[in-house]
Formats: sequence, structure tokens, C-alpha cells
Amino acid sequence: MNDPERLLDKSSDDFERALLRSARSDGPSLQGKQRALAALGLSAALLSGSTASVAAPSAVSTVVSWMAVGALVGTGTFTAVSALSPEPPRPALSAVPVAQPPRVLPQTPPALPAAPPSASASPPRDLPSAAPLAAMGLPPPSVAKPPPPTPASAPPVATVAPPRVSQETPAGEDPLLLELRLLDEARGALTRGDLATAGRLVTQHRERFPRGKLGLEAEVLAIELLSRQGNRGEAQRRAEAFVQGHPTSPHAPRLRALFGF
Amino acid sequence: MVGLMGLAELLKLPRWRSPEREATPAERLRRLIEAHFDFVGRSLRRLGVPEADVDDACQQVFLVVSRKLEEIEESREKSYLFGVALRVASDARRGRRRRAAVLSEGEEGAEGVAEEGCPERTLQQRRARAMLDEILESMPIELRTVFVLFELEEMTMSEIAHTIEVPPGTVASRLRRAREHFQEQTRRLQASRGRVS
Repeated sequence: MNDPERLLDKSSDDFERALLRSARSDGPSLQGKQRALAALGLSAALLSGSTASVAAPSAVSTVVSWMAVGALVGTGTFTAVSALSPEPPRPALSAVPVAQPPRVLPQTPPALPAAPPSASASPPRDLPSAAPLAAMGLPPPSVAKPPPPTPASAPPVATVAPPRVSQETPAGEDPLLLELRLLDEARGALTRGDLATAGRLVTQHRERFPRGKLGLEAEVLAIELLSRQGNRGEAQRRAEAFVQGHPTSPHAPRLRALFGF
Repeated sequence: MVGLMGLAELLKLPRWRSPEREATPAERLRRLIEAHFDFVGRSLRRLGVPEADVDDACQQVFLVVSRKLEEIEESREKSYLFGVALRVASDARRGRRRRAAVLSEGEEGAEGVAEEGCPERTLQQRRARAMLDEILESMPIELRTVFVLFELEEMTMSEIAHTIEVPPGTVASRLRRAREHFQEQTRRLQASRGRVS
């Protein structure tokens, strides 16, 4: 097939050419790509090319998963990768040190009211967002439920890393990657059923990044956390507000499915 | 004999042991994002998704694709992505029309206008882009698709035929009609709004 010459090359009309040239800057942002990778539970660290070089310091952490089960993949990835690439201490954020058991705070974050212990041990409803990763051969969402109380004699779950909170804000590190790491760790804590840590991390995110680029993802995480804490009414109220404010967000269908509105 | 058969098997390896076949679903999805994220974003924008919504729409496309990975032939990945992008863009256009219906004309018109203090060139660029949007919006979707892929994405006509799964003659015919529409609309805009450079 002989292709005709393109209008931009052949047109003698400056107006036409200006209109066609104006589309040259079309396209998504780098942040959009990183957010999509996070939403799909794909660690930026595992990417090749420019994205990987940007993301390298933070991406050794667990895989961010807005799909409820992505963190399960991340657990293994984190365990393996962090063994190879130990991170330096991160003094800027409050911390639960690596290789120590989760530190459960006595109080929950102010905006995320605590739920009765029974509620936190039993989420009211499985998150319906596991389908994409399930279709990719990853574990089913039931694995992401909080673990039942472990008897004293039971061996520890070897593959689940303790919650790890970033403690440093290296000068010049991309704030987006810091956000990503914080929410990544919050997601991991939520997946493990460590609701107190997840709540603390979500609050940290809100305080450190009040206008963060991942604010929507943080809000979705907070809504899920509320739901898992048994505060379904407040979770639903915020979910409805979220969907009303962001009807075209990719999170909207998931929240609608989760809360049935 | 066994050795020769083994050699034959070895020689066949490159035919069926492509990297795609060995990739896990997560790796494949990651590779798709790396290879086509920008293409999907450009396509969404040119198919009517507002600039501010392109990132979210991209994410939506790849969420859909992540659920269908097993159904997507490796040779048709780009085509599949474009098909999903078409549907997502269609939803976005409908949503935008609904929002426009409840916005005043002034609010809607303010969308996408460069803020005060922008350099003249940027302002002209944004005006030109808004006019291009207007023209593309007025095009029937089947013409718009071919026009976008040929004139803006600079794909060949045979690539377009493969991507949207129509005969090459249909691509040629749609492109001709799309160009007529585009040129007619540019003349109309020139007459009503003046020239941009």
C-alpha cells in the first residue's frame, strides 16, 4: 500500500500545520506511568530503562498493590530484593526497624478511628479487586486476609517481612517515590492485617504529603482500612464522596463494587 | 540419530521459545506498559480524553488489559490496547458531555485555557490544541481513529489496517474522508477565529 504524504509534510497551510503540530506534546506523564505500575502491583524497581533508574532507591521495598493482593507478590519480592540491597536507615520517618516485630501503637490515627479487635481480625468483606492479578496467576485474595491469632507454639510466618517504615528522606530523592514507598508499606501492613501500622502510615502520608501526587491512592487505602477496622459507615461515606468527586478515577468502579452503590 | 534429533530440537527453540512465552503474566504486563504506555496515552488524548484525565484513563486501560492478558495474542497486543483505549475514551467523552451539561458555558470554556502570564507561544499552542480537539470532536469516530493514527501517530496505512482490523482499502477511504472533514473544519475555524501560527 502506497501511503500518501502526511498533511503536516505536504500542507502549505500554516494553520493546518499548527493544529497538527499542537498534538505533538500529547501523552501521559511519568507520574501517570508510575501510578499505573503501582496500581497494578508492579514494582518500579523491576523495570528496566529510565523508570528503573529513577525508582531504584525506593523500589526495593514491597510491591505497591491497590489490587488487594499485589502486596503478596511484593512480600516475596521485598524479601529477596532487600536481602541483596540493604537500605540505609531513614531518619525522617518514624520507624519500625527492619527485623523487629511490628510495633502496634496504643492509639489509632485521629482520622481513622479504631475498630473493636474482633472487627480488625475479620474484614467485613473481601476486596473485589483481585481479579487482575488473579488472572495473572497470583494468589487469590483470601490469602490477603489478616492472619488468625497465632498460637504461642506456632512457628512464625517466615516469608512475611515485618512492617518496615522508611526512615530517611535523602536529599534530592523524588517525593513521588517517597510517597510511593510510604503507601507501599501501608498497603503491605494492611494486607498482613496490621491495621495499626497501616493507619499510622496512612496518617504519616497525609501529614507529609498533604498535596501529594498519590493522594487519591492514599484515600482509597484509608477507606479500605476503615472498612477493615469495622467502621463501614464512615468507609462508605468516604467512598461515596470519593466517587462523587472523582467519577472517572480507575478506583471508582472498585469502590462502587466494594460498597455496593 | 538421537543427537541429530536433539540438534533439530535445539534449532527449533528460537521459534517457540520467544521471550513473551516465557514471561510470567506480571512480566508481560510490565513489558506492555513499558512498550506502549505512551502510545496509549497519546491515543486516549487524541480520541477525546481531556489532558487532565489521561493518566487515569491510561491506568484504566492497563487494568482492563491485566484481566485479559491470557486472551491477548502476542502479535495483537498493540491492537488490543488500542481497542481498549477506544472504549475508555468513548466512556470519557460521554462523561465529559454529561459534566458539560451541568456546567455553565463559562466554566466549560475555561477548561484547558492557559493561565495568565504564560508565554505567548504556549498560549498559542494551547489554543491550537483546543481547536484541534474541536475538529477531532466533530469527526465521526471511525474517521477520527484513522486520522489520529495516520496523521498524528504517523503509523503506516497497513499498520492501521492491522491495528483496527479493517481492510486496507477501508483505511484509505476513511483517511480521505477524514482529511476532507479536517480541511473543511480548519477553513471554518480560520474564518471564525482568525489564524494561529
